[in-house]
Amino acid sequence: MATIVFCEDEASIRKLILTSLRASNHEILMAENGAEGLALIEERRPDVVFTDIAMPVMDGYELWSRIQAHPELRQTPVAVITASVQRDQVEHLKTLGLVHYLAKPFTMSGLREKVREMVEIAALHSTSATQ
Amino acid sequence: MTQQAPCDVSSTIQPGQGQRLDDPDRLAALYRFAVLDTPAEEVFDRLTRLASRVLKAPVALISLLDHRRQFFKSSHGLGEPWASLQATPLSHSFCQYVVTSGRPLVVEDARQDPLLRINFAIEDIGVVAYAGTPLITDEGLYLGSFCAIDSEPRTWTDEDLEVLNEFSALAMKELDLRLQEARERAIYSSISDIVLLVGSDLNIQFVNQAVTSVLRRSIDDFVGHPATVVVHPDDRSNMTELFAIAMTARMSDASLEVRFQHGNGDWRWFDLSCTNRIHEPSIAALVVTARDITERKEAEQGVLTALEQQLMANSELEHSNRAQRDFISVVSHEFRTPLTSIQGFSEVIRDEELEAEEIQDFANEIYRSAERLGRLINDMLDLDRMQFGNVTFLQKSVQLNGVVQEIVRSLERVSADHILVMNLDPTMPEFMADRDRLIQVVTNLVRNAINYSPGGGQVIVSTIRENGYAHLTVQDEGLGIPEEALETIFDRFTRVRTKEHKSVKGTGLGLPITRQIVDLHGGDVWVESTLGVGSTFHVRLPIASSA
Repeated sequence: MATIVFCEDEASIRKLILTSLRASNHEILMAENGAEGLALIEERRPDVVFTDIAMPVMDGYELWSRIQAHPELRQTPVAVITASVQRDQVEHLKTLGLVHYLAKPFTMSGLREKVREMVEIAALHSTSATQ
Repeated sequence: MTQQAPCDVSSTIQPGQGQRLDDPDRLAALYRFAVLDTPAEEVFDRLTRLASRVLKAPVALISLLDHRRQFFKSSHGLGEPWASLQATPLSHSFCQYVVTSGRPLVVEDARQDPLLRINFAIEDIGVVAYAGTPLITDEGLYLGSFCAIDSEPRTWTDEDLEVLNEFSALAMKELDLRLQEARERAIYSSISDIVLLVGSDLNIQFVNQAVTSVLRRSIDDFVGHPATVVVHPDDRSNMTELFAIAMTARMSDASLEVRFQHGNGDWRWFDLSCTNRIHEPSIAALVVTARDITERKEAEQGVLTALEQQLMANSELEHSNRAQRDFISVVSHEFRTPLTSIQGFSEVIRDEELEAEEIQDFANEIYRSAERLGRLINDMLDLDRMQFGNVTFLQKSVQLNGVVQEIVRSLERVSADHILVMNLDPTMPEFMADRDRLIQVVTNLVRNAINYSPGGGQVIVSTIRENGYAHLTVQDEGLGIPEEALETIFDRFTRVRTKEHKSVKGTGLGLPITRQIVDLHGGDVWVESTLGVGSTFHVRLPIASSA
């Protein structure tokens, strides 16, 4: 079981994510923007973070740089869920170090697969950290 | 310098050491001096007058020989018609022998001379005694003779010959000067550069003829006037400064590009160069040369204009490419979000065992997202139709205040962080407009005011009746708009590109639609804004046509 934070400003998509992951045994935490997400991440220290890019108050880029600047959070694997999937946008994400992403629209199986993959990465991180 | 002929007194003509009259070099030199058939001139007349007096001879001539005649540039004491004709045929010429022999000719009494006694000059002009010395060029070519004539027999002394030699030399010197001047004039007049002499008082003392051809102006337009007289007002201070610099820095060369006004009123460009010769007594002025560079300047300007146009076209293209990319990226984003809900919830309904209540809920999500997609498509098509004029408005009498109240009421509950305030002019009349479109405009602006003030605050919607117009303003305390974006936000699919603005959802279609609607109502829409303080959108609609 892993703790996962999702930052997503669209209520219907938050609901969709909760619905499709409710069968999993992960703890799913929801934030409506980057600022809420950061507070949640600092408080709950999740194993994985999924974030949208275009959000009010604090966007996904800002959230990512805050996580990177935080010595205790920077190892947390972060995946982007975005509707901005044009090649230059994806390239831009990669140059920032955001190499994991899930494009909107996504399928339920696609979402579950991505979650599984990110949890595995988190497990590898924590294994190497404890060794 | 003129060569002095040897003073060899002889009573007869010496055998030829000079040149034949038709010698081409000699004739060419003669013509180069351009003196044949020119009127008498005081400088030469003074010489013959003086020679006659000094030598106490009644006649003195400056005689120039071509191959057919002798021409007198000056004659003193000569009888008519020769004096007026300024010439005689060779049959009446002693001087020709000075040319052909290249030596002075000294005759005491021509009537006694075996060769000269048949010369018609004796009978027709009254030549008895003759003494002539050659006019010789620097190259040793004999042009003619300076001679003294007496109607009585006379013994010419060595001193007489020396005096004549001096006069020959003086006459020749004068001819040389004339040649020099003629050449300079020819060069000068062929130069299209304007030359001005400018005194230390900055007034023009002299200007060359070039002004008449280059500027079609008279010399009087310049001389005695300030140096800036026909200079473009914008160039005058530069020109005065140039002169000041040239005057303080001795002998410095300075240059500048200025415009002179042509006689036809056009401005022409000149490259001005200035040399300080104030300290040279013979000039005592700034020598200013002005060369017409209008063609070069126009060519340069042409290149610049072409370059600017190219750059502008490029930047327009870039702008439209960028707007296009923005549009695609925004539209793609905006389509994908509702599409995610539609696809995801339908997938859930299809694949999972759900309660009826949940199915209902998810179906609602699908429906709302589909509606959102539909709106997006409609907005795009709407804007397209309006931009291409394929839209008809339903003009009915509309109460603007009522429209505002309706919208504010419906949007009040959208955000808890915003306070919507109305400030409505009770004298606002009804006027003709498309009510649904007006609702679209006000809704767009109020929604924008809320969306672009993520920190909350007041949104004040005001109506003011102005002379012939209904003026609506929507004021927020939000992000504000950078100055460079105040116009472009009304362009299709252009959004403000700061991080804060990008985090606000939007298609970039709202304001273009708003502008289209207002335009089609004959009104104006604009925005005033301070970044970080807030924005005020203005809409002005004509009410003159109200019923």
